[in-house]
Amino acid sequence: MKLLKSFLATAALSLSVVAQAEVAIIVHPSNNSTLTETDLTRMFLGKMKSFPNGESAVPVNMPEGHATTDEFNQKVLSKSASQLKAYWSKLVFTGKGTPPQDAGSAEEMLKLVAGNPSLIGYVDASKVDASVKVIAKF
Amino acid sequence: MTAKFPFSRATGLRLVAGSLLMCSSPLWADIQVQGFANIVAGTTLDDDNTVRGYDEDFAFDRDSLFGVQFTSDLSDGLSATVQMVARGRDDWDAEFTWAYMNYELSDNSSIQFGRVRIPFYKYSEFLEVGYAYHWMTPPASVYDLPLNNQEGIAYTYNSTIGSFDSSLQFVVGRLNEEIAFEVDPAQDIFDGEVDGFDRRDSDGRNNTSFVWSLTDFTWSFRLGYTFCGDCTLGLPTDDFAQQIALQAPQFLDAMLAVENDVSFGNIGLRYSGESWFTEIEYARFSGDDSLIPEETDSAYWTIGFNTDTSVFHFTYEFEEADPRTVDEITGGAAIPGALATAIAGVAEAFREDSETMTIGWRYDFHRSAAFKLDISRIDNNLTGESYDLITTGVSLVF
Repeated sequence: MKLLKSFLATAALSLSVVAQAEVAIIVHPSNNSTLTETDLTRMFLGKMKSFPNGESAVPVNMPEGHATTDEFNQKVLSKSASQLKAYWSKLVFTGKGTPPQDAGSAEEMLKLVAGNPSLIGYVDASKVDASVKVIAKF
Repeated sequence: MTAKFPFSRATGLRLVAGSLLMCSSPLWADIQVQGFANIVAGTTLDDDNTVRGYDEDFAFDRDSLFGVQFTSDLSDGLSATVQMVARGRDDWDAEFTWAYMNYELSDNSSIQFGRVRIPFYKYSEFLEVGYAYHWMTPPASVYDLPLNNQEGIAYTYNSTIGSFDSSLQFVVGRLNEEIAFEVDPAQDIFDGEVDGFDRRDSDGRNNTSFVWSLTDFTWSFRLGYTFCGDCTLGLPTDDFAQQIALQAPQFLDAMLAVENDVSFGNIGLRYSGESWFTEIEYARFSGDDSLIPEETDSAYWTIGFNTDTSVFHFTYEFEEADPRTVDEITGGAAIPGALATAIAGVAEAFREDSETMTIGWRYDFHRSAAFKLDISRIDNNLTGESYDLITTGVSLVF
């Protein structure tokens, strides 16, 4: 019983660690889209350019090297920073695509997404406020 | 890519402005500057041989290059791009590798008009962007083509097929420029410049490419076909052919590549998992009614294992071509033995039979730069000789 307790404690602890680093995918409050993880990957890798309702979708990244960006790249895109950069290099230098633009900070991300129904972005889940809508967490 | 890759603060602010005023158009075009570079040193481990331009002393100028790209977004789906590459092997003279207008017809189709790279094989369009792949340079058995660019128009159509993203590319163009064939330095005697390259004027008209690629980010598939129906290629053997033609002018046309059909077919498959990937690509170059062999086949298989910052990889590649026989060239005409020997000798220059194995390491030591080390063993099955080649250096994007 004691063992189980300590196991549960460990599990809870690791859960809380995960929770701290959770990434929330955010859109404008008026956006009713449901997106799968594959949709998100395709959007942020430049393959999917509109929401399921047909409205155009513009992904916004957090800055390169930011903890939330790394978290998002790893959990949603399943790519390391250099794999992602290699991917975009291939597209940029052949004219086949451009990477999403960056918001400078979580605050700027929230402001951008709250102000434009086309945008989709992500922030650390703890930074989310009522100005945006969370459609998924990873 | 300091300015825009990642995008600068300025662009971020423009995004804010743009999001507030969705319909505003910029007062002046915003020019993005992006670039790439490979700094490569290479040497053979044998004393007396030159392999792919390298000898027993470390050389830096052979594969080192800098590329810079300017893109101007003119809004409403129109943009203009130029890309220049300066290579050590050309004394750092810059060449335009891309110079085009791009117009987005819709979310899933676009047109490029201008100077573009010919999409022969999977890596052809970004052959020199070393940061985009794991090798120091893509497998030479497949990728050491003497021509890369043309002027023309490219149409791309993207769609989804099940869980796959499909891209269809259709390109028509004309290439009219000097192409540089890599030759043995001892035979580099015709263009007045002894640098291991024999430069010849070429003219490829109505050069047409079809490319179909499918990817779901785990699996990627590519089918490519480039066809030049009216292709005049200067060949390194042309001077020998001209000499032979002094005695037998009726065979001159068969020994040159003048207004001929040539084609490049290609199929490729890649699997990319979280911790490893593997890829296979097969290419066939064919020529009709000329000295070019009917089929030159090449392929590679590569496998790599990823850690957070490293890729360890292995690649096997081969290239194979049987030259045309004297009978094929002369149409079976009865000719003197000495003439037949001379014609066979020229045709023989196109024989290929080599295999290469490479082990390599890519180490992403910096956010924008990767260190690479490739060690290759090249077996020339025609001579039975083997060569060892080491190339190492840094690929970066900026």
